Amino acid sequence: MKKAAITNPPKWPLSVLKIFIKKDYLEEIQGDMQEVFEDDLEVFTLKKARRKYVWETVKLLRPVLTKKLEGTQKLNNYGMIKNNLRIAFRSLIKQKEYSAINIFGLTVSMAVSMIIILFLIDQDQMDEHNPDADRIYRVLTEYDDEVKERVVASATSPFELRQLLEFNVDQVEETSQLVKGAGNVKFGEDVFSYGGLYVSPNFLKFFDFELEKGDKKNALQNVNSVVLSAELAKKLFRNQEPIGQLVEIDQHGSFSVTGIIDKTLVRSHLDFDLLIHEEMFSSVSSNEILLTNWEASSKNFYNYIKLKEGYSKKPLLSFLKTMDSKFPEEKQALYDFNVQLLSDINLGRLVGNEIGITSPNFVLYFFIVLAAVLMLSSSFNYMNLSIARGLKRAKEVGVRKVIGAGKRQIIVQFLVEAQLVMFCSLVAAFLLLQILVPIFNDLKILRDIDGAITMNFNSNLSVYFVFLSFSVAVGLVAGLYPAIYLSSFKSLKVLKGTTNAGKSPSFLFRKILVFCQYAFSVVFIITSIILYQQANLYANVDYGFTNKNMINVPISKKIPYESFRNELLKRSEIEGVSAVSSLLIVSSFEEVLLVNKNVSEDEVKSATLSIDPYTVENLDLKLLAGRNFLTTAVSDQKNSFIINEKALAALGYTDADQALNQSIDVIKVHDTGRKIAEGKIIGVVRDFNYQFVFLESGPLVMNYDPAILSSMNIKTGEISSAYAAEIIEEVWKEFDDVHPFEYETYAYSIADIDDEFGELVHIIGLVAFIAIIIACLGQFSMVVHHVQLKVKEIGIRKVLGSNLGSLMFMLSKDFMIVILAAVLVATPLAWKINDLWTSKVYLSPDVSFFNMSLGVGIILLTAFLTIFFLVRRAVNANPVESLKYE
Amino acid sequence: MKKTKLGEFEELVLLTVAVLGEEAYGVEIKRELENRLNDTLSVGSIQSALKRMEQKGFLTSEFGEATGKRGGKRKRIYSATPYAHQVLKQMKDIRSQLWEAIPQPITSFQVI
Repeated sequence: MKKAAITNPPKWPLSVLKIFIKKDYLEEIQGDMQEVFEDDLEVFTLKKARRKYVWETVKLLRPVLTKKLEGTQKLNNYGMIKNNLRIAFRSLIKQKEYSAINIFGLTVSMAVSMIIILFLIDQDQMDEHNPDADRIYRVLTEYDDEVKERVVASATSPFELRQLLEFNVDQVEETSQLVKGAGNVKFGEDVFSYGGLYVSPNFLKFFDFELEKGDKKNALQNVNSVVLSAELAKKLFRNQEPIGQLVEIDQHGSFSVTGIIDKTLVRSHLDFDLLIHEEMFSSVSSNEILLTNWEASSKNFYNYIKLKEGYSKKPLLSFLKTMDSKFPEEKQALYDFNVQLLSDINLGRLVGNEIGITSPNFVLYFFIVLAAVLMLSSSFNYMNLSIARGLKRAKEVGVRKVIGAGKRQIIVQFLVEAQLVMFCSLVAAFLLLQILVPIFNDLKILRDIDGAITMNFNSNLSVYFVFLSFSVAVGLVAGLYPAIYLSSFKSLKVLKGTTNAGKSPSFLFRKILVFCQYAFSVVFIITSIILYQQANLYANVDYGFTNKNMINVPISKKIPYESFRNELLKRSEIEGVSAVSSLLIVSSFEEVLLVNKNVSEDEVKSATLSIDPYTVENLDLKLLAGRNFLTTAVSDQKNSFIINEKALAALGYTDADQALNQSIDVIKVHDTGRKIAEGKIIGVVRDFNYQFVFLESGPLVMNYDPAILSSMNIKTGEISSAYAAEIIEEVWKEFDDVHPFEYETYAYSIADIDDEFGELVHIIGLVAFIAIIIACLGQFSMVVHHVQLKVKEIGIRKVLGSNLGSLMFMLSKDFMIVILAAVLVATPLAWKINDLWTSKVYLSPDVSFFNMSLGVGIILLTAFLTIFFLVRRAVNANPVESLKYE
Repeated sequence: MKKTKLGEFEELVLLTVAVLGEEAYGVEIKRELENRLNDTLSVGSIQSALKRMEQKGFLTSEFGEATGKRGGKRKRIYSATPYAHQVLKQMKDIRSQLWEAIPQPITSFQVI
């Protein structure tokens, strides 16, 4: 008996047959199959017999034997859907203005949402090319910053951690470590600067980078090999074959090129021009402390851990928990480690010391909210209009119900209608997208974060799927309520003609929708007004120094400052030349601590800058007291400082003259210790902005250290910048005939930063504009509908002697209340939101009453005008016309 | 003959049905044909041929008695209709006429 049990054929083919084979044939065929199986068993093994049985089953699925499609459920529905679509088309065409309003609003907001979806999909793709992206983790160092009173995370972690993890955690399969480096790379006479990475030899395999040229396996095995980005290789070698060439890298000596990576092919959070072996790092950094001191080390190394397949990050985390003990005793409580999945690096947590440019997750939330608000607003329009229109179609619903349609069928019919509208909008939005994407990609912000959308839809068909499901989802959201509402009409009542629009609960619902739309608009418009003012403020800010007619040129070995300066000044067009270690506004500044021992031991944070003696005059800095640096006095180069007013106050002086010739300590804090420079204050200058206006320009201490001057500020007379550049280039050629002359006008460099902000303002302004338009369209159609319902009432009132004013009031009262309520609720909200960000930005406009009322005024004005014109048209109509018609 | 075509495989199946008589049901037909053709056939191909011919009117069928075999399922016994016999006869005649019409190959050399 036991044998019989296991000699049965598999069961599932029978159920397959039941589904597909015609009922009449089933018994016979099942019997045949059983018999054949038994025959097979005598010849073959059980396994083979079963296999044959399955195969025979498959071969039974022939047209003659299988069920026909006709007469099944599907076909009936097909007819119904066809009918629904036809009705949907007809009502779409019948009410052209409503359809146009709907489709227009939906199209615009869909196009914007699609761009956002594309952008996010694109950003999400980053590092996804790596097949192991779901088991590679980056170790983060979390530091409890007492000054900022929050935990800050850094993408870096200590050097020694890598080996500790590799040896002590069994689940670790492989690790990789990176250090950032920068310098110059030289080939023949050409020198280019690079930002590169010192990497473990397994780098290419670990991060799954394909080489355009060269052998992926061995490219980084040798300490003297270098892998270049295709971009840098093109600059260095132009059309020559790069592989095998020798290049000189600052500090490291000569390297042979073993690989070329085309970085445009893969999207990775790693950003580099070249890769060299990690050994090279230790060869230049003789600083043992950087490797062994965990505090210093934790700011420099990037550790990536690949876990064995199928393991969770838990053991890794619990091991990292024990690693705090490596930090100095008193700081252990402040440090912590965490990990971050490779695929979560982009659009993930905001961490410091990031290796390349990534978008943190709040970018994601910001865009999603933006898209959701627009989409909701236009969906509300759809709901509103469908309900309004539905009253006209009440008879249709009634007749359908009398004929025998169920509630479900009517719901389906209205949902199909919604889907059709959505689909029309989707197609239109898709066309709009073709225009919008290039504009979007041209945004400077995007270029900076490498965020341009690659519009290669064909290679990524899932994008179509996402769009389609997006529009279906919007259709469901927007269509469901109207469908349920409309399908609930009682046929008897409707056909008697007693449905009263004004009193039904849907009117309240529609009011809520309009309320939401206007609330969104208010928030958007107030935000964009304030942002606009912020942008204006930035554009017109008085920096406190001259940047007009100024051209910045970097100082290099071939362009020595002093002699270059002398040559330039021989030209009559050049009015002045000076040099600084960091360009004001454009560059960042090193931070130092100031101590005024005469007053207290308190350390004051300050920025520091090196200038030459000509700077004060050239940039038009105002000396309040004391003197400028002297070109002749060598002592000025080390021990003299000029401070600004803020530093003066921070050091405890009230009067500029009081501080002169007082000694202060300027302390530079390094990872490895402090370097103290003692010196005297020789001058005080009026405060000027050296930071970009987002940030406050605080205390500043300036010294004169010719060795670290890096950029020249060249002031020209009233001539065009192109002409000025030509003059400078002539001088440049005398010094350096290899490198092309590169320059930037100061105004341009500043405007460059300004532009990004301006773009943000434009984007938000545009969204505000769209939101208002959509809200107005919704308002428009609601008023039109409302007035249509009351045509007779207006006629009768006019005949009985109502005047224009009271009619206007009667008709617009309801809408005014809704809009005023929206304004009342949204204004404080807008105030709160804007207050939140302006309080974080230095030099921001006041979130003042004026700004608020300007925004509110625009909203109210557009709303009132819409209502006014529509109502006036209705009121001015001849009452005879409206009453005659019955 | 013109209206309803009989395929080559169908003709073979039809002939087998005629040969087997009372025993003509799916698997038996399959066995008989496999023996004669010295080839394996699938249940599906036999069944579809049978059903098609039944639709065309070459075959009629009825259920046999249920037995303990075949998992308790009844056999369907097929029998050829008189029309099928007629068509088969016609085809055989046409074929033999054609065979006779083939010119005889020269079987011996003539010495001139």
